[in-house]
Amino acid sequence: MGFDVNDMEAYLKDAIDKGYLTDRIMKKTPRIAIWHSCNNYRNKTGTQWWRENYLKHIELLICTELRMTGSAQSADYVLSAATDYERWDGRETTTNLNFTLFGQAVKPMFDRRTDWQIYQGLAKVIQEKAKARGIKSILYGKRTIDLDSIYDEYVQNGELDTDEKALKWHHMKSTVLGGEKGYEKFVKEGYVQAKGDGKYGPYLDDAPSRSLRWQAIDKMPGPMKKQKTNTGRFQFYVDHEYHIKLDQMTPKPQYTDKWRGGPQSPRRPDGTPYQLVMNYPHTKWGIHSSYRENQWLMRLQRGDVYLYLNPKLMAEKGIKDMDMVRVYNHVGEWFARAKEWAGLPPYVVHTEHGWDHQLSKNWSHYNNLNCEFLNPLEMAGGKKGHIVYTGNHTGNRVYYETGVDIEKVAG
Amino acid sequence: MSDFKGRQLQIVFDLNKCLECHTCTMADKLMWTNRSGREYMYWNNVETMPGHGYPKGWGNNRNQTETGSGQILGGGFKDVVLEEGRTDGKVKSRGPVQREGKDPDLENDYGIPWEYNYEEVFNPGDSHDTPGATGIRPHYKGKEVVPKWGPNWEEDQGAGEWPNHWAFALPRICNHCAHPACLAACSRKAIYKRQEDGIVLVDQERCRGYRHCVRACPYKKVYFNFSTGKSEKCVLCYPRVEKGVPPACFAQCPGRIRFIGWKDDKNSAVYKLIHEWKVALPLHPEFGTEPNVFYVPPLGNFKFGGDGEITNERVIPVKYLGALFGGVENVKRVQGIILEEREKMRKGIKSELCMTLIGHDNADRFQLNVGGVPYKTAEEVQPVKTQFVTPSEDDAKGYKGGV
Ligand code: SF4
Ligand code: SF4
Repeated sequence: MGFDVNDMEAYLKDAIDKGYLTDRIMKKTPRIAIWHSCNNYRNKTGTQWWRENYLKHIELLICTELRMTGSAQSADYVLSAATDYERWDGRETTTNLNFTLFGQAVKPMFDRRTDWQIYQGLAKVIQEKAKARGIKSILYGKRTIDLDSIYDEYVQNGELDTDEKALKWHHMKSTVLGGEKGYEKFVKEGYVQAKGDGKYGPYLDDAPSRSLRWQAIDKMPGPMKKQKTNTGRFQFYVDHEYHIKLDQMTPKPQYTDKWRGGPQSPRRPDGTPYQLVMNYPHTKWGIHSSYRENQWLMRLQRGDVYLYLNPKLMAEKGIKDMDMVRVYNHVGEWFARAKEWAGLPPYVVHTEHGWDHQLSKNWSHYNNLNCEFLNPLEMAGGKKGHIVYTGNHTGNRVYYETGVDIEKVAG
Repeated sequence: MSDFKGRQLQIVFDLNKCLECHTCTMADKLMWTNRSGREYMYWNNVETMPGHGYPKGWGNNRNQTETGSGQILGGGFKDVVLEEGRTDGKVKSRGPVQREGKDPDLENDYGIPWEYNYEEVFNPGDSHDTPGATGIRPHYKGKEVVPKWGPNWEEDQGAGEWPNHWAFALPRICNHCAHPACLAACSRKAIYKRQEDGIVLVDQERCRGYRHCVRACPYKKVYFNFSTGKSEKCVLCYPRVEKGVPPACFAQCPGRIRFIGWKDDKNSAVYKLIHEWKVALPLHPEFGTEPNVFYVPPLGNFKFGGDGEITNERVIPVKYLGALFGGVENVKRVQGIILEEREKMRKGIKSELCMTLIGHDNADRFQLNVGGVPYKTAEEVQPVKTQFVTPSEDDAKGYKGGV
């Protein structure tokens, strides 16, 4: 995209100076971390650098997980979480109007606990310890956290000490789930339809859940409650200074011929551009799902992690469909099986993301091939309603950033 | 066999709407084919076209790749002559059934239904970040092989070249043909076509496992069960259909591409699409089986020109679609009608065809008309007294959700 490590530092400094990003991340490194509901090693760019540099600072890493994922393997404690089938819980999706019940088909097996139980349990212990040690409260940023009553607060003095009570409480607080009557339907039939005005729009019978009625049809973005988008504005052309500087005002879907070898091309340490750019968008086989490795879904793929390659490139490299390929650059390597796909330009290679490293040969991972922790576009901020990231956010991929070479290997 | 005189269910799949999500495949798998020797079967499958499909190379004279060459499994009738000027695949005359096709091979043409050795894959070896697994990957239980084929092996592959690469999804079930090749080929008379709905079934008592049907079905929609030694196929969820509930793969389809109704019901969506608007075409009518699943052929998007500009040419060659759906003329006519009707909608004029194809509600797509309603839900027919029990009411769970 046309920036290097020094530019990156300059963006970070600038973003903090201008208040786009909080300076907390610079002042104090984290000491204890809880990773919840997120397999960071699978999802985050530059996995191996994360491991090396992040773990160094962390004295205690706790993971809430369903199984021993890549991330859980690095944790000091793994809190074994109940799966969706074992929980009494609810969920909304962005695509339909229904709030859906996780009806707890079975109680949590083994020693698993539901999320609500896990955090209740933690709060309880923290409160007990704080009391025993005579600690009242701590300051966290601008907030004071009362450690000696954290559990009482969490469960509202016992009112919310079970999953069931917490779920009902949530339901009754909602303005769109129909109160007591809605709750009755919800627990009887497993779903209830959202109706009425939500935070960012109305739930309409004949429109998708995110109807965008206020924003796109009634065109009433603005600062008033009921008229809000997430950012207060809708953007198709992003006019933030960083976007302009990096020539990223509009989405550019393709790394075209025009870009190759140009300033945006990823380069080797000696300055020569890589032959290939790697691209790894969302997979259709497990978007935000814990069940990426489900056997039935895997049978609908090829049973192994694969890399899409243009047939011309395959011919050039002597690679055949289903051959094992080593994908490498100066930061790391990864292995995958070749899959022919003429839908790709010969200078781009492509995999669908979401694979855990255990599925790859030698437990390698494509996130070992990239190195950006932060994306300069995600440091954008200010008061003009641009989308902002918090700084706790780990960077999304930079589309043209990862340059690679490939070769056929055994296996 | 004389012409089928019974009542016939007909089906339409609108390929312009298919998401290639495989929800239909999973619905079928969960309902019928996840056990007892059926693991490798996909009574419903979705394949990327053009391609060899599943099983690899189904078809007669040509397979479904762009050029039609390579392995061809065979089947269908000889010397088929279609009635002229029709779009529904009605046969004027046909020769004998062709039983001499190839038996699809489990490993090469279907693909072994892999059992993953999760324990081996996920457990570490010497150190916490080195793999414990050894041997050929991927790690299948029992048999160590590199897979050679599968039900969705050619996902997204298609044909053509970037940026004008083209592909589309083709969901397939048994066509419950009016003149089934499977039935014609069975010397045991174990296959029958039900008078009340035209569903084609294999009588499991009569079947001796000769597999003539497997070889004769040009769509390769009969599967041999290696455990029971008998042939099996899509049953169109007849226990559901009898009660007015659409088959599972229809009910679950989030793309809402699937329509079902009676051939003799002039008000049904399928009747309108197949016989009135004539925008739904049979897949390979030249096989001579008179299939009862009809497809609205895909339009595809437009080709890119040299400077990345969008041209007027469609990216899917109509010649290819013609080879699948009964001739280029039929496909062109259908595409023309759909584009015209869409144009109307764009101008704010309501198009009955577009509204039918959109099929907003289940009742717009399913007209089984049992008990005076267009369709029923599975829950209506087989009510579940208590679906969910709250943890506080459920002593059996012995679990209250606290800490
Ligand atoms: S599609 Fe179905 S009914 Fe037709 S020949 Fe094949 S198995 Fe028989
Ligand atoms: S037919 Fe329906 S369920 Fe099947 S892949 Fe297409 S959209 Fe999905």
